[in-house]
Order: sequence, then structure tokens, then C-alpha cells
Amino acid sequence: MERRGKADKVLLLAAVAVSALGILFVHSATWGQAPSYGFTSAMAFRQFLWVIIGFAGLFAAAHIDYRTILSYAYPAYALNVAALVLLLIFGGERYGARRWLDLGPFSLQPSEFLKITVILALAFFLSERRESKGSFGNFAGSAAIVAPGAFLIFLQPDLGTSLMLVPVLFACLFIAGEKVKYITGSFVLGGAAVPFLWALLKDYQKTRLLVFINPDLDPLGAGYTIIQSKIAIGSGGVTGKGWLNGTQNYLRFLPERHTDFIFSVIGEELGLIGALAVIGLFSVIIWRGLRIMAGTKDVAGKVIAAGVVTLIAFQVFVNISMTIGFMPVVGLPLPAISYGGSNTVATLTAIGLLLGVSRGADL
Amino acid sequence: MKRIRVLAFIMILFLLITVAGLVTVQIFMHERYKTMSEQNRLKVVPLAAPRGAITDRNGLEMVKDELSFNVSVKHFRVGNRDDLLRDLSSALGTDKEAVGKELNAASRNPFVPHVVARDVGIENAIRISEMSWDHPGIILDVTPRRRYLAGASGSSYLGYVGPINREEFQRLRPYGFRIDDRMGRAGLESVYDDYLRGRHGGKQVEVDNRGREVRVLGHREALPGKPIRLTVDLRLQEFCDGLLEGKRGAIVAMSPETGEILALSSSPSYDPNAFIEAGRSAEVSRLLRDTEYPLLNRAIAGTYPPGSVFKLVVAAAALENGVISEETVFNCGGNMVMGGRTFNCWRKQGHGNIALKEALQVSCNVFFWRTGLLLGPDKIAAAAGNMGFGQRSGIDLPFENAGVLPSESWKRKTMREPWYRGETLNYSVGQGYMLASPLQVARMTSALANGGYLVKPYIVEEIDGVSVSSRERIYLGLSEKDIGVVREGMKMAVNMRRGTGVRARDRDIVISGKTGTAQTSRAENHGWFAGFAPFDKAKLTVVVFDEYGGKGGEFAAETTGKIFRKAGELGLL
Repeated sequence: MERRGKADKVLLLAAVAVSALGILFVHSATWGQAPSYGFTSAMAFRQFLWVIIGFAGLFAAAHIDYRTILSYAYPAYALNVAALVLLLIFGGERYGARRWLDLGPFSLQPSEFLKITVILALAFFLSERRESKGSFGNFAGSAAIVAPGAFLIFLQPDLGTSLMLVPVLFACLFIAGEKVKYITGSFVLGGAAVPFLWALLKDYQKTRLLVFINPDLDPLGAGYTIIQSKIAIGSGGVTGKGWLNGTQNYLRFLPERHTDFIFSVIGEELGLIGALAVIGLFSVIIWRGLRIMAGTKDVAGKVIAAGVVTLIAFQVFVNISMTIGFMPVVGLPLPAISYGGSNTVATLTAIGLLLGVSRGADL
Repeated sequence: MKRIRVLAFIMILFLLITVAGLVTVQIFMHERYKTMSEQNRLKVVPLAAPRGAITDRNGLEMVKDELSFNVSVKHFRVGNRDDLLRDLSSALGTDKEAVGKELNAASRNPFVPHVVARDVGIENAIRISEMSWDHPGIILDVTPRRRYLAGASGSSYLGYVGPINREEFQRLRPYGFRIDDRMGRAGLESVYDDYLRGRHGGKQVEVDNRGREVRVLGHREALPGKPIRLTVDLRLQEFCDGLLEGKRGAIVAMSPETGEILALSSSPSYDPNAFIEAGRSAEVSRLLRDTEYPLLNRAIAGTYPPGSVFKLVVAAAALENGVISEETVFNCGGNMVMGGRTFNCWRKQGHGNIALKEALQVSCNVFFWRTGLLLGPDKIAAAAGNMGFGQRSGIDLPFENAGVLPSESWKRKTMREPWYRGETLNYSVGQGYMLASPLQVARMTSALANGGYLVKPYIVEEIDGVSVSSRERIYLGLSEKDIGVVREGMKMAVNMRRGTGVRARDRDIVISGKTGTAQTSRAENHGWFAGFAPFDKAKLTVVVFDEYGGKGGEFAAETTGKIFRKAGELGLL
């Protein structure tokens, strides 16, 4: 456990490639539509800065021993939850939700960072209590750790991100060797709770879910996004219309094209080939993550790897599925590709944690 | 390790689902989405072609297309309805209620642009176009609109344009018609529609999500319609229209040499702009119901008994057939008995012994009765037919009426009765079954004026600078001497004492003509005057028809004189 080997280079390269793709397509989605600095759109330039900061986070997380980081897991998570509370009280509303903490020149999205701090808190908790592995206490304690974060994010409201924490929790419990019956049991309970949760949803969230089932219900309102996204991706065909040439993109038919629907721009402009390349890059990250998990004996390291891999894999799955109408529009970004500082920095830092774990792993 | 494999399996499963989804959307449904993306971005903007202008012989504009601005609203693009309502009503200067009503109408069919204001004027149009950035639902259409500059003047032959109906649209779509197109509905607008109508152009543009043009991909210029120049002199036309103001009747002024129509009036008339301008539909339906038939072009489509102007035909026919000569004298005792009925000459005390020229001068009925009996109905009919009665002149206007030219065989065929001699008396003085249009009378008068040629009247001189007049004329084969006698009689009718047409007389211009007073089924008579001038080399034929207006020697003769004087002033003589 004292050995500090080399970090996983393939994983690092995949992270670089994904971030570069993100900058290219934030540029395409905003070029000629938003302010620009000569050869690049202002937003692509900002995304470039986020990537730089993200890689600083990545290298820091990879360099520092993750066990050292874990000793700050609870305070970090507590701080993050406190930020979410502050947000609910003081946060300004944007698009009908309180997600952004305004910090002058930029704004932070605490929910994005919570995805990391919650994984760290879980890793710390489960490794501290590895003697009572399989106990109900471990399961309940883990759920109790995730619950306040998930609930506060749900209140923002940000259904997608709060639901995202569920598979992350289950993956961490599963890989830590906790009992499967608690996991399946909570699935059954969760299913039974759906009607009650439905009552808690905001109207627009309900509409989104209904429109997901039938986009033609409201082709100009809530269904518009799904229809336009499918048109974008479908019209891209196999080879795409070419970078900067997506008509759904530059003629602005596609809403949220530089954030949640950036995959539709890629699908339109690079076609199936580009879409599969994106999936391929994320597959490399997932594969390397699973490999690191397998090579790690330490419970904390395993849990971190499981959390990070699940986080990225599910976000990719949900995001792409919603662009082709396989899932409701829930507002999850494509990790490290969608425009946004918090998403980019958090994702790259998470990959840094994975790299840190890889240094102690038998690969 | 086993649990990691399970996790890996779940993730591979999810990734395969997304791949399958992408393959479905991007390969199997590619064509469908490609079409949808093209429909999203491509729009064809029609470019309306202006209709050709119509000018008079001197190039004065009578009809032309002007730019008109219509404001439409595509309701599904409307963002904030209240803001739109406020901004629209303030830009148009109309009250909110009216605009709100139009917006409601627009909301019933939200994907189709609904016209909320027509013909808004250029200042309003600029204000509206400035607004369209804030209100993407607003569409400002610039379309050409027909304008009849002379108002009611010339409306009898200019006609008007009207929207095409659904069946016509189905039929005409292959020829480039649009559903909102207008086509000629009457008069020249209808006869020359193919020339006046331009070819619509269009441009294919790429539009963004708010429907704004991003760039033009293809362009086809609109081809304006061809301009038409008429034979009409607008100044004389307006003068003639003014003379008929408040009357019922018609005026034909034409060149006896060429058949060029210089003025054609029909009264009551109508303003063709009523068919174009918004908010005048009540006026239109009034026009259509009016029992005085303002839409009827009396000059060519109205037929009436010609009365004594027909004596000119009988005179020429009698000389030509040799049944009388210039010197033949009949005695007019004020009446004539035929078949047990007494026919009265208009002058009860009679005209005494009278020869042809004087008979024309004083319009003696007895003289022409006797002459007509010598000729018989069929010879009268033959002569009248030669001079254009009972047939369409072929003028380039629609709905010309051929009138009625009776003969023995005509009567047998249509009424299954033999011809009575008493009817010949009526026929000889333009009464009875005989019906003629003012244009036919003008054509006959022209033949006497030009020395025996039947001309084909026409009103369109040039289309797009190319002369289209055929200037057809038929030599009637009448002897110069015979025509000279009739002309002499016409000159006397206006210029000598006791002449029936003295009211047409002018000091400087030698006007010749013949009055007519046609009895009708009503108490009032139709007044006629048919004249030409100058005497030696006639430049102008004028026929004035005064419907139920009284004697031809009164209003009709007086009006004819005024028209010749005006024509003189205008340099037309």
C-alpha cells in the first residue's frame, strides 16, 4: 500500500481527448452566435480556461495520495452541503432553478462538486467501517451520507443530478462488498415511492416526463427540444454535415446546444462516426476505471474508482439517451464536453482521483 | 472481481443501448430527419411580380401597381401577446380592440400567417419592420397593389382585378399562380390578363429558428407584367365622363379612319379601386345589386333601338339600290296610313314635298317610311349588316353585344310569324325589333365619315412597346356620290336652320350628324346623336346615347358639340 507507481497514461490521454473535443464543439455551438475573440468564440475560450483549471485539479488529485485527501472527505462534504443550503436561501434563480452560486466573474455549481465530495465521503465511511462489512449499519450510514446532498439538489430543483447519486451510491456499496439484498431492497422501496415523488415534482418536470413519453404532445414547447435534437442527430447520418456546418446548430433550432445538448451538435456535424468516437473515448475511461478498480486492494480506492466510473458512465448514458429521445430531458451535462466550469473542473478532478488510485494499483 | 464484472456488464449493456439508439436514429431514420432538417432551414419567399401599367395614348398613367404593405402575424411565433398587442396598435395607430380581434383570428390557425392590417402605408411599415426583431411572429409583406389613378374614368373598359377562387387556383397553379393572386375580372384587365400579369419570382432562403433570413440560396427575379398603351386620350375620356355625370347613357369617340377609340364612356359608372381597397366590400356588393347596372358597359354591351340615326343606313341603302335618287321627292302630310293604322311623322303639320337631304336635315319620318317600303326589310337588313349592325365589331373588349338585326327570315325563325308592312315602317326609322349598341352606331357613322370603309374599332395600341393594332377596314363599295349626299344631309342637320341637330353646331368646326329619338316602352325616349367632324377630312366620330333622356336634338346633340369642341382644343381634329 505504500507503493506509489505510475499513473494510468491511457486514462490521462482519454481525458485530454475528451476535453479537446469539448472545446471544439463548444466553439461550433457558439461560433457566430455569441461574442468571439477573433478566431474563437468567447465561450470556447472560457471552456479552454475551465479545461486548464480542470487539469490543474486533475494533476493535484492524482499527485496527492488519495488517503490524504480522504482525511478531508467529511469536512469537504459538509462544506459542500452547506453551500447547497446557502444556495437554496440566497441563490438567484436561473431557468427556474437555484443551481448557481454567484461569485462575481463566474458562478459555481455546488451540485457538480458534490458528485466528487459525496464519493469521497462514501469511500472514507466504507473504508473506516470495513470490519463491519455487510452490516445494515454500513448500508444505512452510506444512504444517510448521500441523502442530505441528494435532497438539497432535488429541491433546487435538479432532478437529474439528484437521481444520479443513486447509482453512484449503489455502485460504491456494491464494489465495497456490501450486501446486495439491501441494494435490491431499496430498489423495491424506491419503486413504491414513485407515486409520492411524482407529487413532489414541479410542473415543468412532470411535463418533461410526459413529453418524453410522447414528444408530439407539445411540439413547440417541452417536446421541441427532443424533436430538434433528434432531427439534428438523425440528419447527421453516418458522416455528418461537417464541423461548424450543422444547420440545426448554427441556425439555432437546437436549444441548449453548447451545454446539455452538445452531443446533438457532435452527432449532426460528425455523424455516427463522431458519436461513436465520443462513446469510444468514454468507454476507454470506463474500461481503465474498471481495470484500476480490479487492480486495487484498498476498499477506499475501490469505492473512489467505482463512484467516479459510475458517475461518468451514467451521465454519458443519460445525456446521450436524452438527445435521441430514449430518456426524458433531465438536464445532465455530457462530462467534460458540455460547456460549464463546474462540470468540466469536477469531471477532470474526478478523473484525477481515479489516476491517483491507479498509482497504487496492480495494473 | 466478480462484482466488478457485474458492474462492467451493466455499463457495457448501457453503452450498447445508446449505440443501438444512435444507429437507429442516424442510419435507419436518417432520411426522415434529413428532410425535417431541410424543412426547418429552407423557406421559399415569393417575390410578387407587379402587373403591367395601362396608359393612355399620350403615356398618361391610368392604372398601375403600387407597393402596398400588409402586416401578418404567425401566431405560434408570438412570444408575449400583450406586448405585441400594445406595440402593434401603437405602431398602426389603431385601437387595441380591433388589433386584438385580428390576433384572435390569427390564433385560430397559428401556423398560417394571418393578415392583421392591410395597406398600412410606408411610415407604419417602417415602424412595424423595426418591431419585428422583438416580435418574431410579425411578418411584413410588400406586395404590389393595383391602383386606378383616374378613379371611375375609363372604368367601363379598364375593368378591375379580383382574387382568384379555389377552383381557379387548382387549375392555374401549374402556370405559377399563387392562392392570394388576383386576376383580371372585367374589361381590359381580363382580356389582356396574360400580358398584364407578370411572372412571380421567388427566393429560397435559409432561415434560423426565429424565421429570420440568414442567407439567400437561390433567386428567381419576378418578371413584371407588360405595360399596355391605349388609343384613348385620357383628357377627352375624363371630359366625356364628366358630361355623363348623373346621367344614364354612353359616349363613343373614335377615329373614323383607323377605328382607334379615343374615349368610351358609360354612365352610371363605378370606381374600380373599390374592388381592391380593403373595407370597401359594402360598396362592391351595392354595385353588384344596383338596378341601374353601373357594371354594364352601355357603349358596347347595351343595345337600344337606334331611332332616327338609322335613317342614315336607309338613305345610303336606298341610293345604292337605286330605289330613290337624290332628287326623289315625297310628300309629307304629317302622317301615313298603313294596314288601317295611322303612323304620325314627328311634325304633325308635315314637311311638305321633301327630298333626301332635307329629309335627313329635318328627320322626316314619312320620307323614310316611303323609302323603306321601296327597299323592303331584307334590303335594309343587308345594308345595315354591311355597316356592322347585328354583329360584334370585334373590339378588344369583353361582353360586346351584337344587338338585333331583323329581317323577314329572322322574324320567321325567331317569332314564327310573317313580316308585316307596318313593321317595315318602324324598321326604316330605327324602331321596332332593331337594337344596336352605341359602338355599332359609331362604326356606321365612321363609314359615312371616311367615305365608305367599315373600320374595326380597337382600344389597345401597344403592348410592351409593340404595336398590336391591326387597323382592319372593309371597303363597302358605296359610290362616292351616294355617300356625299348622305353626308351633305348630315351637315345640314347640324348647320342649317330647322336642322334637328343644330344644338351640336359650332362656329369654327364643321360638325355633321344625325339625331335620333327612339321610342321606348316607357314614357321617356332615348336620345341619340351620331356625328363626325371636320366635314372634309373627318378625324373624329362621336356618338352620344342618352338613355331615357329625351330627344336626340337636346342633350345628345349639345353634348356632342361640346365633345368636338374639346377635341379641337386638344388638337385631335
